[in-house]
Amino acid sequence: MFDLVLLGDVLAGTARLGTPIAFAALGGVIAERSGLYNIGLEGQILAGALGAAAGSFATGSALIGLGCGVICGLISGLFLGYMSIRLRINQLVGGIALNLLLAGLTAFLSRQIFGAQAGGARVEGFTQIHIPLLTDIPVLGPSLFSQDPLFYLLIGIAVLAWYWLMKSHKGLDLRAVGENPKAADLAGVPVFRLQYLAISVSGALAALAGAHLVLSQVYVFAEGMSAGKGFIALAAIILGRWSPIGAVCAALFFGFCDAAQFKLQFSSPEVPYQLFLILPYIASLIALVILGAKASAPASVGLPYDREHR
Amino acid sequence: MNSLVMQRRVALALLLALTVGGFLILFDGHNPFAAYKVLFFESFLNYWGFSNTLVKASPMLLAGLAVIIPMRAGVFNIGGEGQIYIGGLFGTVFALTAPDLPTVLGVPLIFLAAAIGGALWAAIPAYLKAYRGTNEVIVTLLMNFVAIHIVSYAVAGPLLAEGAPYPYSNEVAEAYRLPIVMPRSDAHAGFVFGLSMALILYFWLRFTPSGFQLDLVGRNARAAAYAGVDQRKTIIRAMLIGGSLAGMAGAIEVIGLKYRLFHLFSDGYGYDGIVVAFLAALNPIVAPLTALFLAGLSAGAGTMQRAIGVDSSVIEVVEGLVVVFVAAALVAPRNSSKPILKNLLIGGLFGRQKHSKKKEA
Amino acid sequence: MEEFLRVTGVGKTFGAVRALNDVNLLASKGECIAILGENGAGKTTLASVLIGLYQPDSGQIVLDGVQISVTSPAAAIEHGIGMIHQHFSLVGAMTAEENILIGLPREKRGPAARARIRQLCDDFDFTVDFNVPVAKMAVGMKQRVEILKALFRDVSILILDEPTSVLAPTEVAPFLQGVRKLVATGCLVFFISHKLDEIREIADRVMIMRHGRVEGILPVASTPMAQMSALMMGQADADQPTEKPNTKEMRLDTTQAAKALVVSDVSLTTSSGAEILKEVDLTLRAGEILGIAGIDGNGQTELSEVITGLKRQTSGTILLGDKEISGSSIAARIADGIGFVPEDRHAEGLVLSLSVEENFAFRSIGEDKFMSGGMISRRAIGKIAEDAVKAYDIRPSNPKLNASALSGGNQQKIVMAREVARARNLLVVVQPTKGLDVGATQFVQDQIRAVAQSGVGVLYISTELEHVLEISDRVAVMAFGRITGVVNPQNTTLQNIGLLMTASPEEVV
Repeated sequence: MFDLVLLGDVLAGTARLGTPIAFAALGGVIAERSGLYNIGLEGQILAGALGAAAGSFATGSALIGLGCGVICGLISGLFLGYMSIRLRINQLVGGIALNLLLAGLTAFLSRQIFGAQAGGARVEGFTQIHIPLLTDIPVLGPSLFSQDPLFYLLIGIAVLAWYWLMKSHKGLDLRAVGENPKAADLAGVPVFRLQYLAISVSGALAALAGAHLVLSQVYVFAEGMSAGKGFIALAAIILGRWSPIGAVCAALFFGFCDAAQFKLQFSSPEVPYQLFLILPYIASLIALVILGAKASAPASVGLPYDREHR
Repeated sequence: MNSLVMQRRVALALLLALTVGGFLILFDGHNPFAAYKVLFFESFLNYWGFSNTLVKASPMLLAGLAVIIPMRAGVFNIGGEGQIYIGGLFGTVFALTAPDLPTVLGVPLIFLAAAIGGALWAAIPAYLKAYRGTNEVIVTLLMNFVAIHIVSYAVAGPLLAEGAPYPYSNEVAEAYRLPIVMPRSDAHAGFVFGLSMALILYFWLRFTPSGFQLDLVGRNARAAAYAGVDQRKTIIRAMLIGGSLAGMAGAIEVIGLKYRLFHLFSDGYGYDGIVVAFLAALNPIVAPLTALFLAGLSAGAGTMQRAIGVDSSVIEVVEGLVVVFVAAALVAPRNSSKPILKNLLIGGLFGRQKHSKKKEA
Repeated sequence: MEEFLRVTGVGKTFGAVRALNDVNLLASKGECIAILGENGAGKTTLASVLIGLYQPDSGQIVLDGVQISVTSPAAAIEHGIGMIHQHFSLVGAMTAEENILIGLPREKRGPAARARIRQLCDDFDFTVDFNVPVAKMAVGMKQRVEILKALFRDVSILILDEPTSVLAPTEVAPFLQGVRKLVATGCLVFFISHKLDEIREIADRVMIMRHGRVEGILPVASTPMAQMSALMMGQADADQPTEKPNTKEMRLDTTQAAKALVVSDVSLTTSSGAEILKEVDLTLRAGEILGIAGIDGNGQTELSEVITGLKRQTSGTILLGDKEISGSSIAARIADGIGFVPEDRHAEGLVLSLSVEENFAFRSIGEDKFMSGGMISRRAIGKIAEDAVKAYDIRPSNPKLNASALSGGNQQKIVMAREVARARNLLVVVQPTKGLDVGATQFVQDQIRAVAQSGVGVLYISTELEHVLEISDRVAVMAFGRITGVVNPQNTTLQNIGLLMTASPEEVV
């Protein structure tokens, strides 16, 4: 069924389709490790996409576009943090509200920025970087070493995030906040500051997912272009066991399944391609049930911390 | 905080959300008052507009109840969307396999089939939550995607209508279509059904031992166990009820509105249900109002765009702001340290866990 | 004495309650000050203000001659103020070392930290397992990790909140030894307690609090215990005769009465194989009060749950009168007239978000007295609650209020009233006076005596030994899930009970 060329194609597609999910999932891991759910990833992807498109549209520079996207993500993350930390709004409801808000706001603003023919405004993006020699490795070469710069950025950030979270002092403090904010607070950890940091970074990472969609995939902003990737990322967090590396691997698995179903639709229409779309969710569910979520989910995720609450 | 203050705060929150939306409309170069006038007039006071509002409100209301009942037992069902899909699938399959039953038999059986479908879909997270302690938020969320793809497969494969240009099923028999409550419009009896469900559930929670005990589990699981209430069974019961409500919403979309099963036939109604439940502070009897409000906003948005030229995405912004501001309004100010609305996810329930005012030992 | 800490005019109000009212205090280094007071006297609130958990409404804190404002626990640590809470603040999923290092500035976390932690362990003779997550540690070890955490932060002021209440008797002496060493190094220690003998042993001065005020700060050595307790209870109460009428004299002889409850050979083993209850045999006669004494966590709570149906025994039988109830449901046992006052009224006995009247009904909502025409009758519930509120003098007397709006004593009255009304055959009470002040304690005890007087068998489970001895006709002692002895409180010695309470599993077998 699969020859090697097809496999190579699918793997290249895996990286392309998996990268935005991976960015968002990384964002989710950072937020959840600090004790905050980020259900707003979906909206933040849109914010990042619009920011990237607008920045690149205005300046003609993909890099400035990337920066604008990240700033939009940071702001949306701060806003979600304000709702969750300061106002102590239920974090799931806050996230859903943010998604609604940003879906509307990005659609509205895109028409203000790009005019009525929003779809027509092509922007500068990134081109693939072909790493000499390595690209020529059969099957794996094109998928790993012929990607756009954001894919390499993803790998770099994932390793960095893992090191920061699991090995650094700040990371220990952050994890302590996610496990037991009161204990962390009493030990002198600036709980709220770390949570704000985590949720902003989380928004920025989700925004990178949106930037990837615009700057590396379609070079245009489209309403609702996140198309559920923010929710899929939530599943990748679980499948990746709340670890930055794990989440990226899980996201790439989602990307693989998506790439495979695309190929399958054309090469073997008699096989229901939905099977491949369902597969990652079933895998996540099985991972949840067999491995148990309790062991690795941060103990206090979703619970607002109130110092004077007794 | 008494209820009067709370109502005033909610009113203020709504006003604030509309004001911010008004500035966006102004920014877009239109008169916000004219736009809002069209929006609300067209959604609630215009015959055709109100019929559209009703059409949207009926799945939202049932999806809202599908969140409220499990949440009252302390379980967060965000799987309404998936349960709608499976319910719609079950209802359609039944309607298409037995197309010749009389209306009085056929329609209730379609509802039953849809309820069973939704309940089965909800039974999986319910079982995992009750007996394995698996987080239901995650499981229901994941299962939404699975359900959407299953329906997508069904309407593109086994159920695909002959010669269909787009994945959809055959039409259901005319005898099975829900009656129209507003002549010549699309407004079917779905909302009336949802309204009666809301009333029944309200009385059930308040005046029957089984309903009271379900509520008890959500308020304080250990106290419920002490009162001899089986927490696991209650969780499963609550989720089955929630799943059947959402499942019936799916059937209503099919036999009330589109008469076929479509790929992606529910436009996020399951998630709207969370907002409906939240704005209703988990009270079933308030849910019809909040469902109408939300449905009116989204039904009116299109009309507003056509009539005035205001971008309809403004209304999405307003909806988001309504949720944010109402949520913020229902949480007491920082210094009083007595949030009226406790966190949804953990043990707490909306607007119900008043905090202890006692001094510390 | 050189002044180190000065607290002036500190006040803190929660809603309408003045938790702290014009608190003043002077303390110096190397001193141990006990804080004595009843529950709700403001001890923990004062501590919480000192470590930045609560912001005071008024007043000043001066440390080493400099006025400080402790805006957060982090700020408290910067000022060298630490606290060991009654409920530990440790991250269960992390190791001792990680827990100690959380939140410290970078320079304190270097490679030297490891060695210093172990050095501290040696200095204070602490045994700590550094290889397991804290969640897997025994209580005593968790407490040691907490103290190490404070020591590692170089605290000059350490607040200990009821530190011995979680410890086994054998752990208390070494713990106090550690505190003494700490004081000797120049640390100012606040020791919150209500155990006068411990205060005698460890403290230099005692600060007595009542209703959020400081009633006095006195040298321990020269203050008689009677004076301390008089100040703690308030002068008005102290004038009352402290001798209680000898209630034992008034008690019926129940040795020949019918058996109310027979527990035979009951064992409870958890799914992981831990033996919580082992071959427990008990007989309780109608009208008798049988006390169950023991150190917390030796199977007493589980025994109450097995008898009332919340847990199912692995083996053995339970008879209520002549009726076997070994396998019947909680609801059936409620219907059989078993009343149960559980250990934790907030978490179990009450639903704080429900109204007072609903709290009278929730445990058996389907009962005829709460129903009319197949529906819950809010009116019937209101009537029953109103009567009980009057009879028990529950305040505030509005049964529509949420149970959370009531004080601990009044909340316990709700639970007592509800369960006493139900207890036709058996009343099981667990820690019924925990956290209650003297008046409320007295009231609860009187109710229990009255129930027994009416011919109901009462199982009185408590870790407060003096209460158990005072109220019970017989006392069974539990250790490691077994009954290690049954004694008559009239003619036994504390030493004897102490031996039974600490009997090691080998001795018991």
